[in-house]
Amino acid sequence: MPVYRQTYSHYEGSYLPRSLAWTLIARRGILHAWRKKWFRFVLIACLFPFLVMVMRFYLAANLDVLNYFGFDPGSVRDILDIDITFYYRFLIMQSFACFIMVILTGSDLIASDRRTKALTLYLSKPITRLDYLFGKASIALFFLYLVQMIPCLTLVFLYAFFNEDWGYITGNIQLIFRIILLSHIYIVPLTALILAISSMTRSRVTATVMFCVVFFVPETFVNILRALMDESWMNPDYFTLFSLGRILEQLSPIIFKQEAPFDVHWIWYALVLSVIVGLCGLILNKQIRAVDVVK
Amino acid sequence: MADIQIKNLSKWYGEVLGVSNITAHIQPGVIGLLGPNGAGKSTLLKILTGQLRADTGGATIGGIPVWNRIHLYEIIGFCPDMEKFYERLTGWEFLTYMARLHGMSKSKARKTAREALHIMGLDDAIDKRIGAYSKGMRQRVKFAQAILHDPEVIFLDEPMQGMDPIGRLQTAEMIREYGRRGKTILVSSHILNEVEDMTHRILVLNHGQLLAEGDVHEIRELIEEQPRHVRILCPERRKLSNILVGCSEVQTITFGDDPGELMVQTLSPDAFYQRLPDMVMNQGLSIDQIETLDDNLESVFEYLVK
Repeated sequence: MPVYRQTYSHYEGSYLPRSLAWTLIARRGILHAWRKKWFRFVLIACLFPFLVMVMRFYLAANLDVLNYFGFDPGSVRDILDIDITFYYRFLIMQSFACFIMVILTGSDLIASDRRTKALTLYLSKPITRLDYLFGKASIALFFLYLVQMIPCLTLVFLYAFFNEDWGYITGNIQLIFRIILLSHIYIVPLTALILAISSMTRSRVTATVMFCVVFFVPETFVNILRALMDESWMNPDYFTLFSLGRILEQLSPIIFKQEAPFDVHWIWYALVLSVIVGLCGLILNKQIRAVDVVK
Repeated sequence: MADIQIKNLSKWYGEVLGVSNITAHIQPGVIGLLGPNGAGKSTLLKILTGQLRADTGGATIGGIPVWNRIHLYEIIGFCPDMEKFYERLTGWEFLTYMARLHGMSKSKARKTAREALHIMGLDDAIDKRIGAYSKGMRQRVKFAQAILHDPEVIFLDEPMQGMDPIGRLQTAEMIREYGRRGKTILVSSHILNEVEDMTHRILVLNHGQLLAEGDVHEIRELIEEQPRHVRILCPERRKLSNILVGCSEVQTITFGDDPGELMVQTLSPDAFYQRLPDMVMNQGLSIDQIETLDDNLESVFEYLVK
């Protein structure tokens, strides 16, 4: 049959609701990441502390098991004791996994589309820029939730499950909210930052380097300034407002009613964090659009 | 059927001009979009596909403004000028993904992607990663994603770049067929012969401005200051040249390299063609062949852009 006779009939079937268009991009990206062996390895490594904690929860609820291994349950009871600060420490520990994950999943999210000019393919399809952005952000968010918030919430449920005490969950609703809030304090700014940086370059490596520079360089300067500054002139802790790492460090304990490390009201840190996320939004709004190279 | 109406459309990139004050009405059928690098072709295509917002003026497709109309993009197919793809995806996965982005159900998207690959002659490469595709195969996949949802309006940016001759012929025929079916197809290409094979209707851009719009031959007629080059093969070319010297429509006469070849330049081709038979007959001469050399796309393009 001549090639020009082979053609299509117009699609008459049902269309995916427009509000779900972003899920296609998210699913594609998650599957794409999951296909890589090394990525799966890193993901499991990031979840290793969670697996250890599951063992700990089990042992805390079943101290008698230790008798089989020749340990005295009474001697480890205090070590295995679990209180609210345990979850806080777990979330802080997993923030490192968040850092690794956000680089691995986020640095190439938009950079690759800019590199291959795929952005123009997306933008000519019946999806909005917001669909595209939300789809891309969801890829990073998914893996960050997977290494930080979901394991921590799972631990809360496992505690109730191992101890057969479901009242533990209803009695600790505030704890669940705190876990969700603290996770978002980390996950949202990190995702916004990596997406903004990824949208400014065409290279995964450049995006990774830029992210590390934005994260660590101000922190180093802040440390130097705090060491040099005379306290009688101004509170040197104010310099920590210029470091994303220090902002997260200050806000995290406040959510769990722990002692904050710096002597500046948390509202300032929350404000600066909002400004950072807002700036990332502005960058993304400027960058995620069709561009044309005028020769 | 959907026509494209462009009115006073301008786009600037800071101080650099993208396109300037373009007004055109594109009817269904195949239209060539021509212009040298930096002429504003890609900018125009991106504005028409709703990816860029015009600074002034605007464009409509089927009467609907193109900017920020998501549902309009369901009837648009766009084949961008890009060489790299999602290298890890197979051609089938890529097209399924593109079909899904157009809102098709999973099963329909898979079926459509398979059909599209079949139509583009890529049955054997269906499960092959795009990273292993040749440039021509990538071009076919790119073309397939532009047509797989059977759009009413198709924008093609250098669609045949890197294709093998058979692929070019098939794609050109497919584009012509789409045009015959009433689709509106705007094809941007550097290769004038390719465009000429598909259509005689063109838009010519240069430095962001629309230089000409319409049929190649009609445009050529309008370029009055450029004399028409006529090639005549006559066994007695010296005699013929003596006659033509006295003809007021003839500007210059030169002898060509081939035996019997005579090159004539005229500013009034119609009048020249009318007088030529009488002049030849009266002298008892014969003419083997006569052809106009620059009544083609390449010459029109050259005259307009130079």
